[in-house]
Amino acid sequence: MNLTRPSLDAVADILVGKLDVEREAIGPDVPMGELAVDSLAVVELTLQLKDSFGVTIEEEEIGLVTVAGLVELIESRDSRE
Amino acid sequence: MPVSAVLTGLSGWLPPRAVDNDELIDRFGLPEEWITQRTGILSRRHVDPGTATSDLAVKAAAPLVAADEGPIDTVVLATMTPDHPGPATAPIVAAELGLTGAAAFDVGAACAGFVHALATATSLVVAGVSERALVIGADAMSTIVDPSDRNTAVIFGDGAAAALIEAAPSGSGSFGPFDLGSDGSQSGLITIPAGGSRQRTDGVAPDASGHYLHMAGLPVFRQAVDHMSASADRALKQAGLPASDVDWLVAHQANRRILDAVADRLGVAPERRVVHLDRVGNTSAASIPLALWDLWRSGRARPGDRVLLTSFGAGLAWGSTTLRWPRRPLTPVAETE
Repeated sequence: MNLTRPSLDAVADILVGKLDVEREAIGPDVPMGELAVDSLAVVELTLQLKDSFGVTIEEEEIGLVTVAGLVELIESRDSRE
Repeated sequence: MPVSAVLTGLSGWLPPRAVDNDELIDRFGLPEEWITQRTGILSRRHVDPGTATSDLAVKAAAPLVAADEGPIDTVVLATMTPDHPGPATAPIVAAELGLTGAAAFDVGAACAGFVHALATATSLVVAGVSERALVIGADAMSTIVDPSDRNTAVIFGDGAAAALIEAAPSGSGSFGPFDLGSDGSQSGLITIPAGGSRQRTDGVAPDASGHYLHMAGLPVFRQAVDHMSASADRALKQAGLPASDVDWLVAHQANRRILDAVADRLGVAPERRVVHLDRVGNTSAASIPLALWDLWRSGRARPGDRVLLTSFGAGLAWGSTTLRWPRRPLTPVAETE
């Protein structure tokens, strides 16, 4: 599977394409908790992050970070050089 | 040509009482979109008082038996809502259908039960143990759903459907290799705690909720997507079939968002996903045969089409296989939906 490089745009694409979030609502400082419409969306997001970036992010972690914080979290788990 | 087990008949039955979202929105005081956003379900059916799982199964299978194209020697019933803890429900169904004497047994793999029952029946046919087998998925989920639990009450519905399997040269109607699996370390994620030897040997009388279905929604969602997509992928590889060649994905109708997540992961286009749950909810063991029945009645499937079946349920249990859509017409039946 081809993995995507983590970036604000790549995460925004997932939020818009897979979770039906309005692109205008997304910004680096927006808390993820405001974007995920419900708890199932958080699970869907973690599955998608695994597929796109090859990293495991726990559901509980999503609610604690902003969009930029999520990108940093993904980068910190990214095992590639 | 080698003998294989082929699908030669399909028939389903849904109890007439429809429970629409309006009724549940009122009962739970939920916002209008709560159910549809989470599940994609608009309505589900409930049995009337006095109707048990065997009654559903008999209604579903009767048209296939009535078509009388040869003796049926085996009845395999997938259910998680048997008429009683014992004996099995399949012999009761067989007798009601006029098939006393046939081998008849239940398969307990919850929502993955139909694919497990199909694997069992096709193997019996290929091995020469059975010539014609009836595989039934039937569940009266409303009898085990806690009416005050909104998370399960909105999802589950009642229904039954049956498939006729017989020996024939492989080709249209034949099944590919099966992928079956389980993870009992996660058995607590979907469970009916009371009524079995575990509760009885503990010596503590169950409270009222012990006989209801308990489901941990979020972990189940994740496990369902992971296991169905992985199992489906293995079944495709064993069949030598790329996902791009799948004409119809018939996944367990658990929840629209699970179904879409599985299909996205596999790479099956939206127009190739069979969706029946919007009208009937999650009917557990009946969900895959009812979706196949719906696909057949819609006239959209053509002979030779490649169908991917994948299922997941309590256990945990999962199972997948492939099917080439039959060339011969499946025994027609007219029933209300």
